[in-house]
Amino acid sequence: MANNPAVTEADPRKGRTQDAALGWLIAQTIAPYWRPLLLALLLLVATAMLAVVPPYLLQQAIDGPLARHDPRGLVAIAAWYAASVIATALLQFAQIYFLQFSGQRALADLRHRLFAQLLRQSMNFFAEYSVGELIQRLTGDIDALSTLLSSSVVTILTDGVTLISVVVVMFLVNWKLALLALAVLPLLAIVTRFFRRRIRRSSDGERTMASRVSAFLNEQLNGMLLIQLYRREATSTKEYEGYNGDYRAALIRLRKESATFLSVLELITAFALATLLYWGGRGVLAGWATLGMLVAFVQYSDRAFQPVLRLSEQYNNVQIALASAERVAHMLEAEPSVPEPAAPVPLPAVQGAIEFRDVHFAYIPDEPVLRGISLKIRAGESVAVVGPTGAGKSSLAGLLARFYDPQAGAILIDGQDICTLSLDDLRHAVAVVPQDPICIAGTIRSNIALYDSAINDAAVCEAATLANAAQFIERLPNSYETEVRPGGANLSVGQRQLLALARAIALSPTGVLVLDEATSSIDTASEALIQTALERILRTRTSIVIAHRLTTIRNADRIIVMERGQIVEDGSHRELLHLGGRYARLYQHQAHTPA
Amino acid sequence: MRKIALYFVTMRGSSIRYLWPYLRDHHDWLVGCLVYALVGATASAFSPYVLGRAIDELQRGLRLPVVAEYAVALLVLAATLAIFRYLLRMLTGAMAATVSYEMSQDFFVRLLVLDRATYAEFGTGDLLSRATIDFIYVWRFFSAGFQMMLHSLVLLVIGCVLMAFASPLLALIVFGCLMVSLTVQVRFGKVLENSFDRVQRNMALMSAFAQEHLTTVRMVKAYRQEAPVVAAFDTVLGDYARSNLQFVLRSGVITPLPGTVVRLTTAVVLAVGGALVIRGGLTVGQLVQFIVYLGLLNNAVLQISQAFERLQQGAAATGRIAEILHRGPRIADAPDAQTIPITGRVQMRGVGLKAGNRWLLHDITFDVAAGSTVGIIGATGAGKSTLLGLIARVQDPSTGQVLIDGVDARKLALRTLRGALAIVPQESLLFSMSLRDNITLGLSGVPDAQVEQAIDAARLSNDLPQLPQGLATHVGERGATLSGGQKQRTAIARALVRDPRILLLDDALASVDALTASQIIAGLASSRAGAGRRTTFIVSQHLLAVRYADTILVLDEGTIIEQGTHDELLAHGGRYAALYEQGQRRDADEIDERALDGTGHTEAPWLTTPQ
Repeated sequence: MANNPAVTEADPRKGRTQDAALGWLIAQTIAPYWRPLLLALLLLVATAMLAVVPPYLLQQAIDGPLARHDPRGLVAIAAWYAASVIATALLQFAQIYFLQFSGQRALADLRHRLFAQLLRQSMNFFAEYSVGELIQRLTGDIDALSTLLSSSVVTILTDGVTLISVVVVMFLVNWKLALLALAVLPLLAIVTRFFRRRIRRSSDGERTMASRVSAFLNEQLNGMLLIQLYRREATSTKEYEGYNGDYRAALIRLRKESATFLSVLELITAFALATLLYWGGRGVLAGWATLGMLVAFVQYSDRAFQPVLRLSEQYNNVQIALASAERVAHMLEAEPSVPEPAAPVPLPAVQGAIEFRDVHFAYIPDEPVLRGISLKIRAGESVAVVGPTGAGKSSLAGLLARFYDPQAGAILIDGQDICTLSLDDLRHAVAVVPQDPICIAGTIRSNIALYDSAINDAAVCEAATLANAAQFIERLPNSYETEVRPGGANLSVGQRQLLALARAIALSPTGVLVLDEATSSIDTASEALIQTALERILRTRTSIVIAHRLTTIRNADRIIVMERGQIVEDGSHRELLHLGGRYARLYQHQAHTPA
Repeated sequence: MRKIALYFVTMRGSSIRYLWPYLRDHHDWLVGCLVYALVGATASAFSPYVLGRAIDELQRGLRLPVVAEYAVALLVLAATLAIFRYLLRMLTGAMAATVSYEMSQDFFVRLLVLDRATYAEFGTGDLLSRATIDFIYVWRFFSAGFQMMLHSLVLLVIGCVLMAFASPLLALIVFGCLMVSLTVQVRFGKVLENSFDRVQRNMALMSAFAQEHLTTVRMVKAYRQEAPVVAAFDTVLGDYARSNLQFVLRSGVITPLPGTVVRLTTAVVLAVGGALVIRGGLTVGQLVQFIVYLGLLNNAVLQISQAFERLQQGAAATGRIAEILHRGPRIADAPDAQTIPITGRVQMRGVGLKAGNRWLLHDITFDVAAGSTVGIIGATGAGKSTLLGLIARVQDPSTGQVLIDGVDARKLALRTLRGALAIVPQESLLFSMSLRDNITLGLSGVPDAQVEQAIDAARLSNDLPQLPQGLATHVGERGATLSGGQKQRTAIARALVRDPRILLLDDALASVDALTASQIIAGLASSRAGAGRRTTFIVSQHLLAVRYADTILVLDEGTIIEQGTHDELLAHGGRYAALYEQGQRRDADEIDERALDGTGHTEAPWLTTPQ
């Protein structure tokens, strides 16, 4: 599944510093595309260097043909000028083409790798990270990398090369003028840095205020009915005045910072221009500079200042992108806590004998959920598990399908430790139907067969019929092709449960069925359908039902009573009644309740 | 350009006119903006002229002090520009912040009076986006857009005049170039925008796919669907990557185009202007002036087109805001609204409620004496909550009358009506403030004893020690730190602390365990002040919650199909009796898990009489 061997192989990156891990991630991502990327880089350098040509040609024109009154020389220079402009445009497009063509592919590869890596993780990973966070990794963080590649890196390289080329050419043409023109450069850099920081701080403040306003409005809008019915309007208005006023103040503060910065910049560049004009003018009069040089330097200095301004802007973007890259790298390094065995034992046709051997399990250390569960279930037997909330019933199901591994003990299926089986074989042999089953957006059909193309229409119908789901499906407007809305919003809980049962039958036709029975939220009609379907299914295969109905228990071969992570009673209905323990008390109490 | 001019002419019809009321009292601001823009842009427009003159003087070999004069002149112009542009930016900023502050305050006040139907029509998400994102567009237009537009327009006009004086021919070339550049921006800008929309749409699809499959990851893994899911992801990812590549490549061609046009024009200006210089029709300084203008004015054109875009966005946003601002509240006080003391008699006479062309409720008639308890049952969608909403005047009926103490609810002041009743909605929503503030919501200066009494009645007192700061505990957003049952009991305490004459419980005990629920119900009917019993309406899914009510209304598809006491309805043998029997059978089949827990109650508490 993970198509990149570097991820699944033994981790060769242990002990590497974080920056190095980042470098490794970036290198790994762009490595397959090094040829076009190198070409893009060369084109970029060439484009940036061409920036020095136009002012130089202008200087040549003023000092040459214009001074000598030579129209043919002038046309030649103008032609060169146009040629350099066209060449720059073409080179720049070629650069963008090669860079983006490979860069966007590299990023798509990375997205693919990240998504595959996320699906590979075990369930406790998904408890640790919210789906929102994972989506953020997959979208926002990789987008930040995309920006880094297509904008920041390009800007930094272009501006860097341009700045260096311009400065070099300036010194080559006239070092005195160069010193004059570039004298303000350090000042420009310092001022920019100073203001960027202040602006960033104000802009953080503005964003904080904006999100406070938004959070307040969100809450008020959601609770509007209460606010109106409980007549809180005046208080809310006053509160909003507070938030809104803070936001206004933050906006004005940010505005002030940026307006000051822009004005100071204009002053500095004007100062540079005036200096150049005065001292350069002296040079022209004294003969150590020409008029053309002076004009060219006005343009050169503009070409040197722009990169300085932009480069300081990039620092922040690069920081953001690196933080994103670090988060992505972190995700790519995560190893599933339930590992696939190195050399899985093949599992022939499953019989369905199950054994729990002294199993201890906790989701969180020191908060044991299962405490020494030992249990043998014969192939074909149907077992009902009952017990109060928090007894550990659902955890049994999670462990059997290896959504989690126990801290101690072993679980065997047909005499084979499940840790030695491939996850694929194991999950083919064990089908778990959760209490509140989920649906994906798609058709009824795709909700039963999921993405398994081997399950044809006949198999889907058969599974639905066996699960008693066919009745309600065939009454739907488009039968099996009816669209299911995300989360199954257009189906009742009972219908979703029937659908989940059909899915389990279709995708695991012979395996062990583990069913977490729904509590009372199911409509009466579906309830009856589920009961008769269960009766039928339980006879054909090994099954473990976490039961909430007496009817279900009556259909089971054997009953297990759990309490606080342990099995406290185990036996048939008759045996347990005879035992006179918890189960007997329950049964007698409920049997006496008027029906 | 023509489009922009046209836009200004037709401004009267544009949504931007809704901003006018907020500017009316600030004529001085608009005048200020205009003056600052005129002075700043003029200074900016004259800089290349001064530079050109200086170059010409240098060529003629002038004396040093004159060079210094030109340098100083450049500095003075730059300082003028810096100061006035700063003033313009600050003034437009203050103006934008104030207009959006005032408008947003009005918007919020409007939200507070709008009725349920309007909320349902727009949806909370839409209203929130209007209240936040649309105001950002208004701010952006006023702050940056307005400022850029003013400055750049003045700069463009003065620059063109100065150029025309120097050389009409070159001015024409420059002007033509600017038009080409503008056309390129406007024409291809649309292409880019569409392309970007496609990228956004594909991104949303990809994100939704990932979201769905990561949410259902347990199922994906349970049925070994990881590989096919990744393959399906690759399809959406491919669509996204293709559209994104298309966008960046198009952008790579289009974005630098205006700049390239300007630079090519520079070559033309150099050739034509150079020829003029050689023939003596132009000075070198003027030629340089033209080259500098090309860059400066192109920048102005770029800013105008950006500002125009912001104007359009701002106008659209203002239109969306105005749509809400100009909504009249459908539930408001009648001009002759009465304020009377309310005792709690509730009647409905032939009440019907229509939504679209569907009747949510029809022909509802009942008369409930002050102090009675009424149970309302029915399937999901039968109209139970809607019926409670009519009593609280969340909506008004389409036909018939709702009478409180014999007065049409529409004739009662909202203050009176809502002051006398309290509703506990289905979803118990808590605000992110202290538990006490949540309970005393909308009241001020409630004595502690009164709060404690309500908490006792709602059976919340036992939970307080578990909370870090008791009543002062700050409730996490949407009540995240409390359990479902605790939230519902807080919502009940909130209703009880007001000691309402009429109490409406909309399935408000669903998350509260049965024993506690029966205790709460037992205490509900008596009012704190001892001024007799209060009228209580209980909507519930659970028949046992309404069993001891004075009257039970059975709703089906918006109409009352049975009405009577528990015993009467059972004897009648209709829907209620059938539901009751079904419920009994199901309750009996359900395993009472507390019976398995060594310590649990084995008695079904709902069966014990609360009276």
